[in-house]
Amino acid sequence: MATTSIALKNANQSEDPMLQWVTFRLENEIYGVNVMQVKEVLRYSEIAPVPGAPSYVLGIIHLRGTVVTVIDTCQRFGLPSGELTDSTRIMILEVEGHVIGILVDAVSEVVYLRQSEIEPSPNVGNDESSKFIQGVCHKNDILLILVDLDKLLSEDEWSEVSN
Amino acid sequence: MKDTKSKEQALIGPQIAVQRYLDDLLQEATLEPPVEHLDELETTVDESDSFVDLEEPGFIDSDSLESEQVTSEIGLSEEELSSLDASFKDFEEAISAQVNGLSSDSEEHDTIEPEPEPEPEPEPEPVKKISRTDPLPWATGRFECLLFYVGGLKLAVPLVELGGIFQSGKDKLTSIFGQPDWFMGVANVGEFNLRTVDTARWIMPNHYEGEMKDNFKFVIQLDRTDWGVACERVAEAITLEPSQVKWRSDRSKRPWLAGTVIDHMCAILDVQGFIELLDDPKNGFKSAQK
Repeated sequence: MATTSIALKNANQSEDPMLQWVTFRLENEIYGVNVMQVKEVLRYSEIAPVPGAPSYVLGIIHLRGTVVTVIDTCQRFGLPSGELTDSTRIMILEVEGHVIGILVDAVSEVVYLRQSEIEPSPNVGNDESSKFIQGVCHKNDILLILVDLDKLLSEDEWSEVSN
Repeated sequence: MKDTKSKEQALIGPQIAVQRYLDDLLQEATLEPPVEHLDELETTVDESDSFVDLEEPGFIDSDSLESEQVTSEIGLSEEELSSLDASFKDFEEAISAQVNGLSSDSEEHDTIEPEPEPEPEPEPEPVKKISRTDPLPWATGRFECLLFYVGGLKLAVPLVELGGIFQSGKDKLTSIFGQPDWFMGVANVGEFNLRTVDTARWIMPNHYEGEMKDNFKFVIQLDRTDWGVACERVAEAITLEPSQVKWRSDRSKRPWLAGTVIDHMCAILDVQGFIELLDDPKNGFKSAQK
């Protein structure tokens, strides 16, 4: 009997996996990225601008001897740029084999969400940036906007950033 | 003196703007030919008449037949019944003799004639889509509307197509990037999310500068969809006769507008038209603007 219930539980988990999301704040909204893609979170440090870089690139930082490109998340999402504060963070992410940083207003917490809890994005427009949204989810009276990091940059943009 | 004049002008300004806007709507509505509307009404009346004609006789006949059978069963004596039984037996014998004589013919007949094709089952009638020129189904008799205010303009939504009214506000709204400017965001109301529309951007784009987002207090759900229109104030419900409304006979230019009510100086929303407009993947807003 006990083994049956454990087997059922395992089956449910495989059908509806529990995912962990790191949430961050940008402007007044809360966003989430898959925890598996987050390598670390840094306090804001000087970002060196790169001449001739695309508009969505803020610049580069040195991370233990490695150069990491930092993306202007607000610009990428089509949001007005926020001010730098004590809670501003650079999230270091690994996306499709590339390591990049994104600038966010604050990093909040790690939340657990079941796959079934994620609702499709209520997209109504055809704007390019709307494709970055993987879905939305209600958690603790807050609507989390889940970001699909794999779509944050296109193939060409990745190669441009890597160069 | 000059100060008071400028203050007066500042106060009257928005009222004049709203007044002019309503005048525009009414003027547009009154310019439309009334003949077309009458024709439409006549066709609907004809249709409803034919519906009654088809339905009624069958219904009455079957009832009357049943009632006749009942009375004959009750009214006959036992003798009469036995004589009826005997004559029925004779009838059966005669029929069976006839059938035996014709059996060979009928077999041949069966082999020659192809079996009649089974009648295809009647397909369920598709939901009739209301044309932009058809009268609205809820507007055939007396109906109720809820009045609400958007940027000083009084609007009405028919109660039959009102999904619900939810308290909301800027703090309860989640903005989502990459969306058109008329999409204010997602309002969480209880168990579901309402895609909230900046109503003023649709209804009076030329008299509006985007101040709705800071002032709205309610979201009105359109029918049972996940679309909601933001409004600043919800007023009372009113009952209207169709004759009180100047209906738009062609709702293709402003699909969200069903008509105007001069007595209340308000515009009635065509909820289904509005939903179609919002659901339009081409973002009907832009084409409606042209």
